[in-house]
Amino acid sequence: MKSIHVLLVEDNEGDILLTMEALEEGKLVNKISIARDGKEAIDFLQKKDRFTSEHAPDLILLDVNLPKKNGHEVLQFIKTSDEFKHIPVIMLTTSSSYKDINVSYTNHANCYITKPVEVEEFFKVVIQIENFWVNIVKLPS
Amino acid sequence: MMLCSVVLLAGFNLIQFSRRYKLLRRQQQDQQTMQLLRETIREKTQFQEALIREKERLNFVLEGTNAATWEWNIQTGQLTYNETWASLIGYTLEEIQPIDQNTLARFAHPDDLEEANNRVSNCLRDQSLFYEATYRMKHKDGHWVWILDRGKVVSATETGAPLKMFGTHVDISPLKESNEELTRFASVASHDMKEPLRMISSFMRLLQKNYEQLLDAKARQYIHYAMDGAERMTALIQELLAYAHAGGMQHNKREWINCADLLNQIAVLNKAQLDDQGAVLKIGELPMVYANKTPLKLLFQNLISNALKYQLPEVQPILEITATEDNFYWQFSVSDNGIGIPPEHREEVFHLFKRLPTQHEYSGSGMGLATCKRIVEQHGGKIWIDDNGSTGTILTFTIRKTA
Repeated sequence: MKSIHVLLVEDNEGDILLTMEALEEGKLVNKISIARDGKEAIDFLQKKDRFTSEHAPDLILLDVNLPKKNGHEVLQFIKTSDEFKHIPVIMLTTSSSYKDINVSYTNHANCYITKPVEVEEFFKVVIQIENFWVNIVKLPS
Repeated sequence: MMLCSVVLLAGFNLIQFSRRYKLLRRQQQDQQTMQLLRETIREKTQFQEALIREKERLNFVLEGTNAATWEWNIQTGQLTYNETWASLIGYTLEEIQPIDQNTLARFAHPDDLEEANNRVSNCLRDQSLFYEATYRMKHKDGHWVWILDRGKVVSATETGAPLKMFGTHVDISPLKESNEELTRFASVASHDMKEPLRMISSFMRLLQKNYEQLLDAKARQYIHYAMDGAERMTALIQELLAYAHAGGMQHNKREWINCADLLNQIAVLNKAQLDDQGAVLKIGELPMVYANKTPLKLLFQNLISNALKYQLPEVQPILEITATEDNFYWQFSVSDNGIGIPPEHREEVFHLFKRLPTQHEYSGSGMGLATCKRIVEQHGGKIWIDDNGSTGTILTFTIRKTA
């Protein structure tokens, strides 16, 4: 069975819990790593400090409003790095502002999703993300 | 001999008399002419004095409002600015010479200029329109000054082509800043409120979903109230955001809108509710208007949903939307056969968070009409409730025909 490693970049503990529960419900992801701010996300990818033994994720779920370095900065880092730019980045945020959406796609985000307010809808969306990227899409290896 | 001299004398007298009569006539005529002349001169002086007074008054007004003026001969391209026009951006007239059609472009922000130029073109095409635009101009010190530019074509050539256009510049930077501050505040406040709220409702929902078997009736009721509160709060924030954005500049992109099409779109959006209540929506002949589309849609949407909401039970709602226009305004009326608004409350319903005691059995936030008012005012118009005599409400608003 196929399974993937997801890096979730999110600062809100509530959202971390919700997203993890939803991903677990989908049963397709076997490893979820968490980065709680933008800098941590970059450190994770570069295997700095406490992340030295980590592997690069197959998929990144990235929030926009983050402490230290915001989502746009993290996205820009990933998509301008030869080492990481192949990793699909899904912007998953509460923001529905056109500015955030346009900036994200300009910086080569693979897709942009506004978190549904309703928890059931949110679960559906996360499970669909999971299904799409695990079962439908062919990822680079 | 005697007779001869009498005749002669009489003849002489007769000649004398006739001469004197002619003289008298001429004098009279002269006097009349003089009188006419005097009157003409007096009228002319009065006219001139009135003109001077009028000009003085205009100067007082311009000085008092600190208005800068411009005058444009469209046919020759000649432009005239006054001293205040230059002083708004920190210059003297002398310093901004030469003054021609390119002067404005030297100082105006390039991002704003195109919209302003479009609006001028609209006014040249339709000379009854008022021109109004806001844009930034670069101050001598280097900072941007927000200018409210207003004007109108005031005369035309014999063939009807626009000849002269007059207008004023007003520095609205402080107003603009406080307005933007307010919009930013409301927007940030509501976005930041949405986040914790989403947490409350999400985890309440999960609690309900995953642990329902473990909870007794009382615990379920607690969850129900918590979720209900969160839902109402979400709706409130949504409307607060709509209110904050209604007067903001981010939607200040006017375009020609076919109101009939717009109303049809709204009818489609509200189809479920219209069908549900068996409502009749009559749409009269509606004009094309030059306005901001998103706010205008929200305005009609709010008025229609109000008309549907404040209905008596068991009454088929009948809504009618009509429009008229005069030289300066388009005027719309939305009438219904609902519960109506008592005359003493017809002004306060437009205040933020104002809800009438009679409405408390109906759900609402008290922001709908306040938002409508902001939108109408953004379009230079007014909104009010007409006296209808019988039942129902007639809501009327105007949109100024600015370009």
